[in-house]
Amino acid sequence: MSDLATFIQLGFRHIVDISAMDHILFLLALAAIYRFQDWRQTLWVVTAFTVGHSITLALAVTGVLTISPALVEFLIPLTIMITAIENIVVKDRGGAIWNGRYRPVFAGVFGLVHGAGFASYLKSLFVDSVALPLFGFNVGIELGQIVVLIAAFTVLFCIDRAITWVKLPARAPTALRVRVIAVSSLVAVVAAHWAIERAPW
Amino acid sequence: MVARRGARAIRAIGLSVWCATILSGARSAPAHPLHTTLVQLTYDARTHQLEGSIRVFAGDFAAAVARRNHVATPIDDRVADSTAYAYVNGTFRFVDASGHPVPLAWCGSRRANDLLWLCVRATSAEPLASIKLVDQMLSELFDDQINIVQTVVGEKHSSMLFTKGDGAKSIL
Repeated sequence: MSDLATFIQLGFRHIVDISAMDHILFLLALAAIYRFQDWRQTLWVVTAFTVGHSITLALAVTGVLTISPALVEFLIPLTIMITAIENIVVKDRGGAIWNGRYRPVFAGVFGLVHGAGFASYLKSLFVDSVALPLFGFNVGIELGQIVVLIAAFTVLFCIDRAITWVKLPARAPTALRVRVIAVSSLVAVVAAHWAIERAPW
Repeated sequence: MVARRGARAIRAIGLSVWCATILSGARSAPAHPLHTTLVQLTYDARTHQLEGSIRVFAGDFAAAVARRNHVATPIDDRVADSTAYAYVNGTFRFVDASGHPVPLAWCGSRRANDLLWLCVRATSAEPLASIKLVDQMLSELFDDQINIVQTVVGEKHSSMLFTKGDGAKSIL
């Protein structure tokens, strides 16, 4: 196997793993407001997230940026919580700023935080040749995220079916809105719990 | 009607918060570290010698060694060379075509911040194509452990990954 393929696999496995729960929950929070037909928008958002964490990862690994790992581990669940709360608070995305098209920017900024989480590991291990591992690792992460997103959409689809099966009254919130509130509140509570656990003070 | 709608929404939120509380109580998530080691393997065709330079996080390595020896992990994560060698000998090994282990020799260690560099050598008269490697370092500690092995033989570079439970893999 080539070195590039090895590092792609390393990034992929790092995300498609049950211990990557914080990353998976963040993706679920990002995807929670979309339906399957919105897959292009979702892909944009997730790619912006990858670009964000690639930037921080590169800066941290090359020594340009130094961030306390304890602070990063605390900030990661905060970004998940904020994303989930934003899902609940913004009811009308068309009426929101930039017609609600700020999500990629939002995901990119939060990606900056998540990237710092990987940095200390890669920086230590690949001290002599970091470019290829970094590139391969990021490609693997992006591919892994796509797989996680497909799984997330499958779960969201099942939730939608369950809500439809319950038959909401005519004037009740839409099935999509109920799903957004249910999934996002669940994610927000779990992330809040992690944030408290990891608080650096 | 509005009251009914509100009640349903509150019920949905309540149910999800309840589920989340149970979920978060059942499993607290640690940070998401990258559990990996990196081995750079070189082969000297003239002497038939394989040399492995192993990079491992000192804290993880000390924890694995301590676990194997049923002792507490030292506060400074320091591991004596003899203890480190015994651990590496049990988890990282070359095997020949008949499945016998190729004896492993220790060629030192050094520490740089949180990273530990270990050096091992093995010599076999058999052709390199018949030699296989098993790398299960730290796998008993982490289910998501991934060990990377990069091999350089002359001008040829190749890589392989070992995860928990993987058997012997050909070096070439």
